[in-house]
Amino acid sequence: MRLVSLLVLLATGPAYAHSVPVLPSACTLDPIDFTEPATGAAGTVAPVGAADGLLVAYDTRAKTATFQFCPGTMPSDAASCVPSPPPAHAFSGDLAGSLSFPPVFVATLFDSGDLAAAVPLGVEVNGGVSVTSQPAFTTGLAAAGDVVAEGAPIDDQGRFTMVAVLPASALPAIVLRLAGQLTPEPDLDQFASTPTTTAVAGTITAKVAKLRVTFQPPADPDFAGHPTIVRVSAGGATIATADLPAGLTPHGKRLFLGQSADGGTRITARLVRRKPVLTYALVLRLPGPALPAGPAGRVTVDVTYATGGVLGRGEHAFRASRRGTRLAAP
Amino acid sequence: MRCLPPALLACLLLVAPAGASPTQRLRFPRLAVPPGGNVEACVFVRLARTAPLDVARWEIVHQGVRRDFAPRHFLVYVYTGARLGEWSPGQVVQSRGCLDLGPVDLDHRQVFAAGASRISAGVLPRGVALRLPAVPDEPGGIPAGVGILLDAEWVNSGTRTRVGSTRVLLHGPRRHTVRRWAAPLLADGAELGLEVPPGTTRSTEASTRALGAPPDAWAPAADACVLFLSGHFHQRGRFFGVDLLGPDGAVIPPARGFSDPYEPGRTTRFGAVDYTDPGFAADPLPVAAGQRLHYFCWHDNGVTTAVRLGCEVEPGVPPGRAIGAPGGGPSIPCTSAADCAGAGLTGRCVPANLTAGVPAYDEVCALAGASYDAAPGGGCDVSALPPID
Repeated sequence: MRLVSLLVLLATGPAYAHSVPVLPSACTLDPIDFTEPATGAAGTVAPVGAADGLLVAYDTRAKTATFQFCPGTMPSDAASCVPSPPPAHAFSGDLAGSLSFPPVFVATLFDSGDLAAAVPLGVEVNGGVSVTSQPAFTTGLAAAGDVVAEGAPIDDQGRFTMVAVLPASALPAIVLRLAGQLTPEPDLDQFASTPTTTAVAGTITAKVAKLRVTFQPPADPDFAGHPTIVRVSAGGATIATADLPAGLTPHGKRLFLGQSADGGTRITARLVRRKPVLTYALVLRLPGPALPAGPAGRVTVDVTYATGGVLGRGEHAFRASRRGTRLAAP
Repeated sequence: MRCLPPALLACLLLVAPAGASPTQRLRFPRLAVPPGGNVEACVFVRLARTAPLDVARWEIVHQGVRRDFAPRHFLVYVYTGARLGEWSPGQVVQSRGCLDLGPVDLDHRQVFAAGASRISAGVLPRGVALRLPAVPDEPGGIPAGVGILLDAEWVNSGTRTRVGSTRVLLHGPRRHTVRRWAAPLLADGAELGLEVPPGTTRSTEASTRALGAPPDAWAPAADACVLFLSGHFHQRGRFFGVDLLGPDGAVIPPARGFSDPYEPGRTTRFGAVDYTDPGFAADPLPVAAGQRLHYFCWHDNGVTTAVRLGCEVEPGVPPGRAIGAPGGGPSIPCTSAADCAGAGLTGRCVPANLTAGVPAYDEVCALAGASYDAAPGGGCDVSALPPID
């Protein structure tokens, strides 16, 4: 007797496994690179020793990665983790001082492998000037004055690079670059959604870069409430950057506009369509790009953009003119 | 021609069969999923009515399904809490397990339909209809509507953004066919003792015992049958199990069961490991008077999950105590010391005890289902009984 019949009338597709926990990783950090753009000072600091036992636990609901310093602990023995502050480590290079991490910090984790975390740091440099700062580490873009630094999301090997700027308050602005490797690398598809870049096109000459980036964000970006930072690069070398700390201001319901004080840099975001998929076009006008040197042919141009609170990346093969003075993609 | 629509309507009414069941149509709006994405989103539907909504069968139809784009799960819950007015109907919210929307009693809900195939359908046992209750906008108020929570998880393994949507049809019973009404049930006493120290896993059986309380269970006053047997736990829940106990307290072993991953050799009558989709038992389970459904949860606080962080109150003591203990309650959540600057705190954000609580970062452990009075003799087949509607 069948009292309840759950009938599958038309079955399609495979039977997927359901949501599963993502197991913790061990994290090995490389020495932190730091640069002081105002003075050109640079150096490194060893942030964590092997004995500091940095573990990373994941939460697919909160979409976070929790970094915990657990001295003498391996991921397989995470249950015995008692987070404790790692010792401060001394700079080596042009600056004298030390830097210390908190015992625990929480990063937002995106399905692209990007991380974003506000990390409270204790920094003591140059003769005992101590500051406690909470810079925003990101695998995306961070800007300090004329310098735009870019990190790298978690890759197939679990490697990532976060960048942050210690704001210029008691000290000159310092750019930090924190790279590391997660073992095992996390399965990312259950974490926060990032925009899909569907097209990159435009022209780049020695005078100006004019680019159009079409992207599909997971929700309406808040263009006015967040800074807009852009980096255009080829083979790791920066071609052009833009930093509009005030973001893009609305002009009507579909258009958002921002430009630099001198008017040279101009960025607009325009709503292309809402359905079936929310789509925006970002139009960039960036003065004085540095064209990559090399013979004519195809050059892969990468565009990384942080705007409206979303972080996206796109790339396209541009064709270089015979003299190498112009890159273009239809 | 202007008279045609009313005439057509009258014609349709005339040809409709006597006793035709009313149908409630619901829709999950279009959801865009980026390439490689796994998106779970929820939408709450409010049906403005003061009377319950009766359901005898249902259909779920997904649109946009492709070889590389399909739902992983789709669940239909009825809200059984008392804060209907605090939901935001129609708003699509991305959330694992639908834990990031709704009022403080959002876990008062019962799954009663599910389907990840392009078309799924189900019927209740013959003669049984599920009565979805109309609930008030605020505690103590009069019934204001029926709340339905739709939970969709879509996976896009393709290289382009895809869009999916879903239609749900809830069919009422035909007139003079109902022999028993099934009503949702919820038992959550296990939450009183729930307390998991940082870096450990623990079962509510142990924490309830530590509180000095009897095993957590649901027991009917008379012979009953339980439909849609399921459970609730949050993101640090690792296993939910149900045993059927006889009047002597001994476990009545199931013919087919679920293995408890934390107690090798133990088999439970129902088990769930995924807080986003705990599933439910498809067959009605007879529970005689004197028998009990004993339920328990295993929670993991920092072994394979991120440890619960809380603001330290007493140096060296993990904050947070079982809510059923004197002075108990969850700790103040934090992600850094900056969150712990309040009075009475040491200023440190430390690993905390995991306890029961409303937000998703705290836990629940509840037995859910729907029950109806069994047929004379204790059987769950009520089709031979006289209709009551």
